[in-house]
Amino acid sequence: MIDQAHMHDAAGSAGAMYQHHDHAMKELPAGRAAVIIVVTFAVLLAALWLTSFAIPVRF
Amino acid sequence: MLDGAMVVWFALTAGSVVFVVWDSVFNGVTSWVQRIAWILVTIYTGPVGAFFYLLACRRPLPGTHDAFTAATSKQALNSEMHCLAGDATGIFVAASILPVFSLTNGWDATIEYLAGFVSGLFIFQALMMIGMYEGHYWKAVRKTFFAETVSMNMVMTGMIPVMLILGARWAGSEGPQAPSFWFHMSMATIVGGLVAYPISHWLVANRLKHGCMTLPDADKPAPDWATPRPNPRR
Repeated sequence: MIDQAHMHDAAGSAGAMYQHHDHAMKELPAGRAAVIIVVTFAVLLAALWLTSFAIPVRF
Repeated sequence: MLDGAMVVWFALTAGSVVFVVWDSVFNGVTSWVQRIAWILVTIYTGPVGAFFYLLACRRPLPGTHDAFTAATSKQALNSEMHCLAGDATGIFVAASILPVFSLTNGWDATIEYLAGFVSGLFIFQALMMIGMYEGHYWKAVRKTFFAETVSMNMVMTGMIPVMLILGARWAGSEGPQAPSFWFHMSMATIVGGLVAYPISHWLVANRLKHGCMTLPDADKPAPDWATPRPNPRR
């Protein structure tokens, strides 16, 4: 069981946690990120299109 | 038969939520954001959420959380729960309100997507992770936009077919007043989570999204374990 001080710590700044763990995030180049986003949208739309064979999808 | 299955499902969900809340309060060593994410996901996915909580986040023994959650597969699962909690919250709220407007199912899905995206990006990613970006909210929005967008698209790739097909084929499950609505939303969330896992794994493996982190100094070995006990035979 954790005590009150521990609980306060648990609710504290996320920043300290990331520094503690050295979890610096990377970034993709904008062009590559845009391509991946477009691909995931295409997959989503494909799922919607396949769904339309099972039930009518109307806008 | 479906009514019986739903009763069992909701009973298991209630038990799962009680367990995850209890464990998060008394045994949790992650940030409150991560704990809330697991609680929300367990509300939405019932025993499935509790199973994955045990598998990927619950500290098995004092002092073991970092090692227990170190595998990329577990990091990815924790990362996905954070995303799924935000997205599903927006989707559930929208899906509960939209039947009032009697829109077509395509517009319902579109608005649910937007609600999930807004909830996921602006609240669960940017606002709750603001500490990671020195308190700059819009920097947090900008930095988390890519991970949130691709995760959200994959969550919805799983959720939309289930929501639309069950909503159309299961008479009476359209509105939030029907238990079957919550049951089919739970099923949709589980499928969405499964479909989104590979992209979550890729994001975490490439350090494009954070995983699960133990709070500094929150998970120390129990005092009894740190001190060798005297041998009673001496």
